[in-house]
Amino acid sequence: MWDLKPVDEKEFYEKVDNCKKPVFIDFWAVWCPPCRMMEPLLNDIMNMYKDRVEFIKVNVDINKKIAKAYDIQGVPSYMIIKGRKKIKEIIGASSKKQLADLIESAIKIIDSEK
Amino acid sequence: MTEHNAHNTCWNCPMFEFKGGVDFRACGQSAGEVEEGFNMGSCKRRPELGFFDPSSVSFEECPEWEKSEYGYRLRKMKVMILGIDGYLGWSLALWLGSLGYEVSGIDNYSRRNWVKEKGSHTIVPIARMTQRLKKAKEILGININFREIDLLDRNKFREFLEEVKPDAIVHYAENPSAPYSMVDDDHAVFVQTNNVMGTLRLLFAMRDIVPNASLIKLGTMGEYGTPLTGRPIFEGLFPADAVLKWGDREWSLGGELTPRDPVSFYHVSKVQDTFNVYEACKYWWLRSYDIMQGVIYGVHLPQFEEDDDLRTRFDVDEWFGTAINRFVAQAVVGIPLTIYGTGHQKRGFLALMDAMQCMTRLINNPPPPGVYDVVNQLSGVYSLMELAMTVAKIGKEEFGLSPKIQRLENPRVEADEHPYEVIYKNLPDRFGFKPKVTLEEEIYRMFKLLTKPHIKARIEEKKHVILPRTHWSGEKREAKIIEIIDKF
Ligand SMILES: NC(=O)c1ccc[n+]([C@@H]2O[C@H](COP(=O)([O-])OP(=O)(O)OC[C@H]3O[C@@H](n4cnc5c(N)ncnc54)[C@H](O)[C@@H]3O)[C@@H](O)[C@H]2O)c1
Repeated sequence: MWDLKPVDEKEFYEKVDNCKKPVFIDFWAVWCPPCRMMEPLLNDIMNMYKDRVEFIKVNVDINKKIAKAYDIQGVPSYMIIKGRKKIKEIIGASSKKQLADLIESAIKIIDSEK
Repeated sequence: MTEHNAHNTCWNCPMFEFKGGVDFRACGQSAGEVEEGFNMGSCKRRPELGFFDPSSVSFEECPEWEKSEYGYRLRKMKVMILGIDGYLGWSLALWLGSLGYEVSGIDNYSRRNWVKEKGSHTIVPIARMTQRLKKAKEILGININFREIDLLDRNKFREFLEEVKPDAIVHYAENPSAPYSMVDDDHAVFVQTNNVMGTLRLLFAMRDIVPNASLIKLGTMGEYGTPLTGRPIFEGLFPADAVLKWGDREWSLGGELTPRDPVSFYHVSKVQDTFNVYEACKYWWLRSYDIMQGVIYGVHLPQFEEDDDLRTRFDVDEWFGTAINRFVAQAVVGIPLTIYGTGHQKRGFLALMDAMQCMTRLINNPPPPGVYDVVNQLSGVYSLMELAMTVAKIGKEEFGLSPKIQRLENPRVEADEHPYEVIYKNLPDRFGFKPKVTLEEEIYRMFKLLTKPHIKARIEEKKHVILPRTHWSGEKREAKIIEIIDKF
């Protein structure tokens, strides 16, 4: 299991609005095998980046409003946001390198906008 | 210990009815307009709950799911077995019936006819279906709702499905023989028509009549072949950390179907099934386990010991006799155990009773709607030579026989020497499977049964149909002997 508790809408916006760090969102669904396959890999990524990035897990079936707000077209989708603003995303199962690239490049964009 | 399926929720339960369908996006497909408050539904068994979110109740919490030896299980779960007269079908019927499942099934007795066509018979005698059903009721107290139906008979099958409305369907009803599919074009066409069209009929019928039922579909490890690169044989779908590299870019292959490299026209039919089942899950939100099963061996279930009429079939002829089963029969009547080629070919194997345990665990763990999932169902990987040696040794030491092993030219087109790294972690890790039967123990039981005089006589009678005559090249002749081994 990707040991992170899924959040509901209230928790989601509270976390996002108050977080100083960029936020990595895992949009997932119960019925999505690639989402399950990503779990061990996401744990590794979280351990690698937890000091620099906040991690949130959003079940798209329960949190339809969040999925809609971020225009989620398929699962899994991985997104980096700062505040409520989308910085970068990747759709579909992804390798560790792809996720690391996603995070690193998003951080660069955020830093350059400071 | 937590049961393997304790944290499943109504998403996994065939009793949950989604209100107006679910706003599903197949993985990676467009969502379209997202509607709000859509994923609610109700429970067929507990209408008092009204409409609720399916993630809110777990199996552990639901009184309709009770704890059992093989995880939580749905009370009075209805399981329909297609191919219930076969080696595995009959075994599973008695096994599940004894555990309290409501068992139904169909068969058209074609296996009995295919074996006759070869001029053989089941070595362990089996009763007619009427007698089987009567004994199951009298001795084990199991009521099996059986109908003689060809799965390709659309109307009859749909009528029966409508009548029973099963919660899970186990699909064994296919021709299981590689050599049979290689006899000539008539046989190849028959096998592919029977297997592929049968499954296609089933998928449409499920869509129309029992879309919430889970399908437990039998494939085979032979779908994968034996990749010579030595790359691992994953469980049907790539893990997320398997990547495709091209130039300086890389992509995860996570969740995509792994390559198949079937080894006969029979195995091709199973690969075609895999794609059809995969698509049906995607188009209609059916749910399925596609089981890549190793070779099953053995004769033992506790239920069989109660009465000879309860036993399951056991074949040793060149079309239907599988490796370990055939070796033991050969040893019993003093003909050499036949190995094709070097005998270094490696395959996955599983004892009959352990196969039943796996099936029960999968039945108890229906996938969520839309999910096509795969397990590699085996408990060990052995080379054929290693197995023949083990059989010969037990025959010699425990039963005073003097078995020999003979290597024949290989009638098949397959690699004799190959790497074989099979991943088979899903069943133990996700479904709590623990093998309970050792190879030696089951071989011992097989010798015990097959050396009984009336059974030994039945092998003697059919000695002449054991050696392979069906070559993948199309030739029909006995395979040449390369070497006889009598020292081990
Ligand atoms: N036994 C093994 O070692 C093994 C290994 C891997 C996979 N499998 C698969 O498991 C399944 C069961 O194998 P088995 O060894 O019990 O074979 P089996 O031939 O004994 O059982 C199949 C049963 O299905 C019936 N059947 C076939 N076509 C039918 C149709 N069109 N309509 C109705 N009934 C039909 C047959 O009469 C037979 O009773 C098969 O799909 C096989 O490919 C078996």
